[in-house]
Amino acid sequence: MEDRSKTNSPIAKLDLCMVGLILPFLLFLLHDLSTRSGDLPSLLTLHLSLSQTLLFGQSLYVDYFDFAPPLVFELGKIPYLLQQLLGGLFPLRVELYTKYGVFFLLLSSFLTTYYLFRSACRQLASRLAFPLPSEERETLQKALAQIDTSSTSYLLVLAIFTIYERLQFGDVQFLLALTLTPWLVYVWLTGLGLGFNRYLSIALGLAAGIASLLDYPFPVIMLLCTLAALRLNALALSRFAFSSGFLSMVLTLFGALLHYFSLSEEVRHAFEHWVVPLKMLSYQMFDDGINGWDGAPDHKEVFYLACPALMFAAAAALRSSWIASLAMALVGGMLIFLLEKQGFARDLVLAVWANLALLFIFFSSSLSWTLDLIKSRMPSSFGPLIFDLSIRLTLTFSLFFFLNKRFEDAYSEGINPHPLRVIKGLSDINIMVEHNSKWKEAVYILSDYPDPAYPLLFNLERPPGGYLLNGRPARILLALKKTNELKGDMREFYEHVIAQTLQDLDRKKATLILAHGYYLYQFLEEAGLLNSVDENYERIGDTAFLTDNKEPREYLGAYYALTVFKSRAAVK
Amino acid sequence: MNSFIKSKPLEYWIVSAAYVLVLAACLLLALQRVFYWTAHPLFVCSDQSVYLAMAELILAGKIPYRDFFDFNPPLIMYLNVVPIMVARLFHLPPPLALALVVEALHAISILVMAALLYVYRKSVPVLPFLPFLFAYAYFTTLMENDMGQREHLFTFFFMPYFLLRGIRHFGTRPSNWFSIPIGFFCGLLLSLKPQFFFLAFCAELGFLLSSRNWRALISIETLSLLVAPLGYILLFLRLPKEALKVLFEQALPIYQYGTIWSSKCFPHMLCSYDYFIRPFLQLVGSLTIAFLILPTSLGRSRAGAWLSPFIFICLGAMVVYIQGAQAWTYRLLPMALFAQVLLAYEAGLICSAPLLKAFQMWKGFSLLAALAVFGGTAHYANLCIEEYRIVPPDRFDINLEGLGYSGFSPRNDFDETFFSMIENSQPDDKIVHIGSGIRPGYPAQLQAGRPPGSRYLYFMITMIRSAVEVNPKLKDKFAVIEKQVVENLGEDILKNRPNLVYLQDFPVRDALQEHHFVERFLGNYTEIGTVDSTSIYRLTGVKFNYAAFDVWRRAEIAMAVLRKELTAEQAAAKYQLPIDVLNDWVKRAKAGLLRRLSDRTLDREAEMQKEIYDLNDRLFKMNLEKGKLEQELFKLKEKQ
Repeated sequence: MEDRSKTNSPIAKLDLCMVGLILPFLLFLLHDLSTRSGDLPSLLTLHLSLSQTLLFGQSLYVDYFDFAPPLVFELGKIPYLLQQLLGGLFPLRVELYTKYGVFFLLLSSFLTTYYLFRSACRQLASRLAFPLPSEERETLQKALAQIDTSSTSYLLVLAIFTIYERLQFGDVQFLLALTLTPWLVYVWLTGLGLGFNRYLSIALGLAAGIASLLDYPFPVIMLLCTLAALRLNALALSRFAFSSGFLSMVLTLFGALLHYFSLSEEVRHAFEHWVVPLKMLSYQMFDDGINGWDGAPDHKEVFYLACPALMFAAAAALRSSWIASLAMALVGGMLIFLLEKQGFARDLVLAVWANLALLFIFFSSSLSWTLDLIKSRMPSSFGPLIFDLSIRLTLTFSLFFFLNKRFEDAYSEGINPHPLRVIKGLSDINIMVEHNSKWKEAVYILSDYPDPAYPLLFNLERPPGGYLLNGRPARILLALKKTNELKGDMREFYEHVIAQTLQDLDRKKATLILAHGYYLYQFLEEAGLLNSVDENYERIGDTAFLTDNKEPREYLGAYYALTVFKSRAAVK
Repeated sequence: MNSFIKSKPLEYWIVSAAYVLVLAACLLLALQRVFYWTAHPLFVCSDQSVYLAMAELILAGKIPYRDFFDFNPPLIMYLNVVPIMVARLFHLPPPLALALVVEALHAISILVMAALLYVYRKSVPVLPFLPFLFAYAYFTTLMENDMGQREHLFTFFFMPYFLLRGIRHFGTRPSNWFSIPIGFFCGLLLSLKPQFFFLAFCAELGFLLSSRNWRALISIETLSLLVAPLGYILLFLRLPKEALKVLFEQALPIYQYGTIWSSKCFPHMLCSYDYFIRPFLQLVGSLTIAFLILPTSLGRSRAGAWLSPFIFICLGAMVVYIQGAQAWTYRLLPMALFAQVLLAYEAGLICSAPLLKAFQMWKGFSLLAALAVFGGTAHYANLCIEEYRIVPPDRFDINLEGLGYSGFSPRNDFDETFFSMIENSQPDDKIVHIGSGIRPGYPAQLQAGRPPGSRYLYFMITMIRSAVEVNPKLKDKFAVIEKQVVENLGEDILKNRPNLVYLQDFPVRDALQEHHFVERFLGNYTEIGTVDSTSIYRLTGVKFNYAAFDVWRRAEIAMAVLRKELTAEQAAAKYQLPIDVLNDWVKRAKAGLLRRLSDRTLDREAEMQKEIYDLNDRLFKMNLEKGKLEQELFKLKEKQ
């Protein structure tokens, strides 16, 4: 028999939270996504642009280069396919299809987490109504208490996180965070012996499997988070191993493997012999240009917040493996930042999510403890409730408005930059590209990082005009060349880059070429490509990626200008 | 004695012997490094060298800030008096004395922790702490540039204090014989930097959350901890007013706003070089393992209770490093150490269960394991010592006889500035180095044994300029400070007449040119060359054209004085030379004769080194040409 008093409180809070806070937030977000444009993150728009070329028969990694694993581009095709399918009924831009797709995932994450908590409350209360061994009883009671104090905060975290990372909406780490939100709860509760709707579990396992393949460190992070949630306990591990979610995840991974082997030999060769080794090299090589105090974006606050978050986790993990799994996600997020060696905001999305989750849960637990103290002293039962609600609502709304304002300011700056520091006499890259190329004309922006190129080229619907959508390989290849290490696969890749680029230059594929910074220019020079550029293009001046090195316009190294070349035919 | 031995069971003696062996291995691991330092007797980094120089000035009766300038609180200067006194007592070079004092502190720290573990073995999980002890011992053996830095010294008594607090928090009352000295010395070393107190706070918080033993907060060691900082504050306030005025009105404002000139961006601080990223990866690794262990029964065990305090100090140290906004390796030192010892502790924690089972199965296993550990460590130590002794055939060593010491020091331990100081000055000659940082003036000047010729052992005009850049509103205030320090520097040069003045070309010269520094204060100096992007000015009395006198001419004139054909004054008048220049030539000629007439070869390292540099330049140019030819070949192939 259920103990209704034990279930009613957390379920009531969850229902109230969903209806009173999450639903209005989702409606607000939907409106915001629908009415705003040009706010997709850089890497997402790069992946979408590349995915579009694949739909037109181009080969991944062979015709265009990027570091992301193949599955990312398969997902990137979905908005275009949806547009083809539903375009007649809903004539929307791909940008909107993408946003709505991610919104759907966000909504699913909310609903799944909500369902998991709700179902867990009922199941736990039901079990606790029966005689149990003392250790098991204690574990289940702690779990119920944890859900009671933390479930609504956990849901709110997803909302706050979405606003905080509004400019990374749809980025791979964002998607991972959306997946981990219900997944970690699922794993934790399944390890305790609870069961959930089979179809939902399968869908969740599918999402977890896909999410873990979106970037190279993700499988390890997913594995460690899952193990932490299961307390490395043999019983918990076995319960989870036989759950629908886990089996679905395994099947998904298997399916992804089969899909990989279905790719052409050329693509697989490129991925295994070029992309993966380059990515591993990228993890080991630091850009010497990232030096002075303004040489990279500053996101110290994430590490500062990680300190109290992990301290709280260290204290709470003894009693809750769910907290331990969140801490593991935070540590995983920090690891990604260390591996990427850049400092972009997109490298810290997972860390931000885990930070917020831990800090909100900590706050919620502290508030509950304070409330219990007040309850013991106040005769009225409404007093503590009012106190609780007012604190939570004040904090939530304050944070929401602050973060939303922050997003608004950043968005405006992204569309129409007015940084404090400007390179005199140079206009912004937005204006240069817009005035010197037409809709659907290819533009090639060579940069060590894709931010000057994307989302600009995606928003202006300029297809990619060259092989290196992400110019990072140029720096790596230059470094290998200098140390006489350009051999084997890397030599093959280098020759492929030159051949592709020469071909594109000779065909005048791009109307406009912009070369950013020292490395790319040197790369063109040393590869002998500048001659072809001179033959087919005319230098028309310089432009700047105007920014104060804040989202959404972040840069690395020095505040370089971009050299602009226009096709001689277009100049005439 | 016999009855004592017989009163204890055999197991007791086996375990004790095993413990002694493990401790001996630990000490061996730590102390083998002494051989490295004896092979590098003059190696020291810039910060440590300047503190040693300041300690020498303190022993000469000088007062910090009033008589010599620095940004830092004075405790480190006074603590460095200890190695200076050791150096004077045993006639050692100060850098070697510093290294030996630090090694001694390290050994004491290990012994104290080992004693704590042994005495309180019933309440402390000894097995996981053994790898911890080894990791702690090993850490200092990796120190080179950061040997003796404040962060390094801090760890020597913070770790024993940490251990002691854990013992207290988890229910045992340590003896006052431990509590009082450990607390006091920890408090003394925490006073080196205010942020160290934050680390002590983090440790305390971690223990509290693990033990929930609030009564442990007030204890003998926490009270002893406060003695040194309180005494320090009182003594600090007793510094002369002029000294405090310089500190609060000049040093601190410049430091507060001016350190940005050397600041690095956030990713650079974490990921740029191996010595930054490795500690962070170790931190990530240790946290990963910790959060896997914590929810398990191992995490809830007596040994697992120590994980939270370790995590807390790791995170606290990370915050302290990031907050500094500088990519200086020594600032990362505490976090690097804490992450490594946490990893070691975790390894011990995981292995402790199977090891305990093995010990229970066979009592002799502990002694066997200890013997294996000792044997392995001894072998490692032997390899290290052999490596320190190896002199590669292409390595040049500097004979320290000219500096008044015996032995040799590898040439790589010195900057070029050191050699220019040796070549152009005598042991008692004062030198002033005006650069944008401490290096290369120090350590070169300390290594050369040349006293400072100004209150400014290093100059800070670039920091002042950075401060104005960051805060244009404070332009007037910093203009006043800049004028003051430039005037002080000039005044010191005019008053003390240092034999050599080093003036960095960029950006310092340009900054000082606005004050007409060279014209106003270096009128008695002649530029004689450059080294490490710095112009060298020698005291010549008037401006003098060295180029007018070639080596043979100088030898003729010097020999005339040495043969007593002329007095120095007569020679100076006859050949129209400044007397200081003539005296310098005579001194060097005499020293050169004596050196040449003794049974040694001349030092040709500089000539040979220059030859090597020239050859490398040629090789580089040829490689560039080769690269171009390869490109042309590639293009030809493509066309075909």
